[in-house]
Amino acid sequence: MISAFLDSLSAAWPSFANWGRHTPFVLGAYAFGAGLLIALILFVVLRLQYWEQRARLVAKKRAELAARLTDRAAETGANPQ
Amino acid sequence: MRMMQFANPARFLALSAWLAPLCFLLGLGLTVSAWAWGLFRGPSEAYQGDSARILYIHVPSAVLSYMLFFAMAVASMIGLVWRHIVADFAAKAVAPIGASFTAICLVSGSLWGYPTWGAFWVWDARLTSELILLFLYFGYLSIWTLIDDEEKAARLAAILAIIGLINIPIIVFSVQWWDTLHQGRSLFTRNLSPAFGIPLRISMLGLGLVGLGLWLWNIRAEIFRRQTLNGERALAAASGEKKGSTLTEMVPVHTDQRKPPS
Repeated sequence: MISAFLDSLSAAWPSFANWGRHTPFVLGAYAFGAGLLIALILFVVLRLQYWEQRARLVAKKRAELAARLTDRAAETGANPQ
Repeated sequence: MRMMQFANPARFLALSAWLAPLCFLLGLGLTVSAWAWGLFRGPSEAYQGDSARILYIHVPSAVLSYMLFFAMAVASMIGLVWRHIVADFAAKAVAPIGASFTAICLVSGSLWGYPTWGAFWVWDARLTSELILLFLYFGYLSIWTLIDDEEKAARLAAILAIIGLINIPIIVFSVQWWDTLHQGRSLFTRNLSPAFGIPLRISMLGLGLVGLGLWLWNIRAEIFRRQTLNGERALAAASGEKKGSTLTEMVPVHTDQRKPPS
């Protein structure tokens, strides 16, 4: 039954990628591999973008805070360190 | 000493900013070319038929799965002994990449096994040790996920990675030590015809470069994550307006080494 199903699947597949009854296995292996690889690439790239943006935002806030503290110290004559 | 200089997060960020996309794009081009060659131009194998075309994805994934684990264990060891924060980040960042390649290796191998052996899975020494490798990756990732204290998580994960190294020679030499259904070593032998060997080696190089690029990007993400968390903690402390709250209390963004444990 599985064999008949695989044969019908192979026969239906276009000729540019027809490897006989092995077609679903070859395609399955590459589809899974490429799919997981794409998911991994998206995970890494989106994670990098997310943390890079958050790090920039925090660095900006810290710079603003440091400037505010320095200004306040200059007004009061105290050493900010 | 030179290696330690590269362990500086600022230097690493500068280096990886151009190296990661270069490795990734070059690797992607090589991988796609090798797969297209192997699938549409290369010959089918005399005994295995067209299912042998799976080897262009299966073999590079298998090699990368244990090479990345080895890299993870070495980085863990450096993190554990020399307490370099980038080494811990490197070990943590490589785990999802290694686990993905292990999963690709197991599934593609299974899809090759059915038309060749008549079974998707057999409890062969090579297959079983590769499955154990996947569980080791899952265990390593679970430690980082489940333990909140990152110092403790890094130490425990490093110990697991170092102990897990025992599995690497078992995977590599299992086909020589035991009588396995999985075929013996053929990758770096003269038995491999260039018609298969050339696209296979290009695919290995390509996927290796893709893996390296992703690893570098993931280490960058980990450094930015730590910078963000340190910065947010410092901001929260400063905005608390507690007595004695000054700029010097802010946690430094770039630290060469972790603080020694108290």
